[in-house]
Amino acid sequence: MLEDAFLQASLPLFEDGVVDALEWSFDVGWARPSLPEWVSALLDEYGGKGALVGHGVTYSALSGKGGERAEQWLEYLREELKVRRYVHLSEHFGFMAGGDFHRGTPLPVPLTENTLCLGCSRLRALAEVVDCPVGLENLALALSMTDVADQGRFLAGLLESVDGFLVLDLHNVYCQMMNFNCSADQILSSYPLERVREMHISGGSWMEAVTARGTPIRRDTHDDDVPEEVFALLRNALPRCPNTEVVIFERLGDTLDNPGAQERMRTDFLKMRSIVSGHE
Amino acid sequence: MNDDDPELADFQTCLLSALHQHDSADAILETLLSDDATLPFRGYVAKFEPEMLELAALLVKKWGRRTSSPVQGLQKMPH
Repeated sequence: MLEDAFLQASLPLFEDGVVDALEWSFDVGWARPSLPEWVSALLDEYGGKGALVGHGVTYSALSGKGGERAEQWLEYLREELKVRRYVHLSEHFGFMAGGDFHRGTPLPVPLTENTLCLGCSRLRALAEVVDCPVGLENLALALSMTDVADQGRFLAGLLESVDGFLVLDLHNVYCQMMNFNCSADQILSSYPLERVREMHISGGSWMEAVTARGTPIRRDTHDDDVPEEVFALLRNALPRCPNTEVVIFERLGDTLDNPGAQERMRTDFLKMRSIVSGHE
Repeated sequence: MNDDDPELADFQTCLLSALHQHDSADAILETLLSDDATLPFRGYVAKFEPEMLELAALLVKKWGRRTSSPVQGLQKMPH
């Protein structure tokens, strides 16, 4: 959300007072000497009124080796929490760091007794640093049907260890539905839906390659309009997740570089808001 | 924090390297299956779907960064 195009696209929504909460990937900010003034102002405003949620992207909770990297990440988080107050704070299921790869994209991890114990330990370390609920987001990428089938049980075990919450990313669910020919119910019914406090919706893209089943591959790229199927998932999931407190609209700022895309983004946002309001 | 799982760490290092090095599922799988680090996870690897491996390879090439220092990796992040 640091790009000027994101500001241009979203400013009318902020001016109309229809953005009730903001999510900030705080560890993105750690890499910068300073944030754009308008970003700091928004974070201060939403943090001040108890409407800011935190969403880390680089903790790598399920890396086999945590070590100095994990310790440093938690130390940066301690510093972050001296500056801003978050309603709750989440990270991603999976791992991105291993060997000399210290940043990347989250990848799935096999569910075993050892990996569950490891993840619980990492979540407890995170929970010890913060004074708010902690959670994990379900992952879009699965390398096999085993990853799809196990993720709900894995998440349930991890989150139970800290009485944590699930960030239910509906576009991630949609990716797995498309890539593994699953129904929404197959996936959602395997998740600990009573633990959902936050949902995400977004758009994505299709690859030219196809699966062995002959269907195109869906990617969670946050770079296009929200498909109607994801809005349908939102309508489906809201009644099943009674503890949902916030629904976040995700979009990469650098994909909003023309007025048409900006207008469609606002339309999608308002449609999301209408669905959520209609459910309440 | 001293909760590492060396077996898992070795597997993940091998997986990330293979995904970063190769594009095709066949080459990725050949690398994985020739490395003893994947022995404890062969059953898991055997279920990998080729198209999903190639998608993972694309993502690791796009977002993955190697740094000499783990802390340096935290200071240069994608968004």
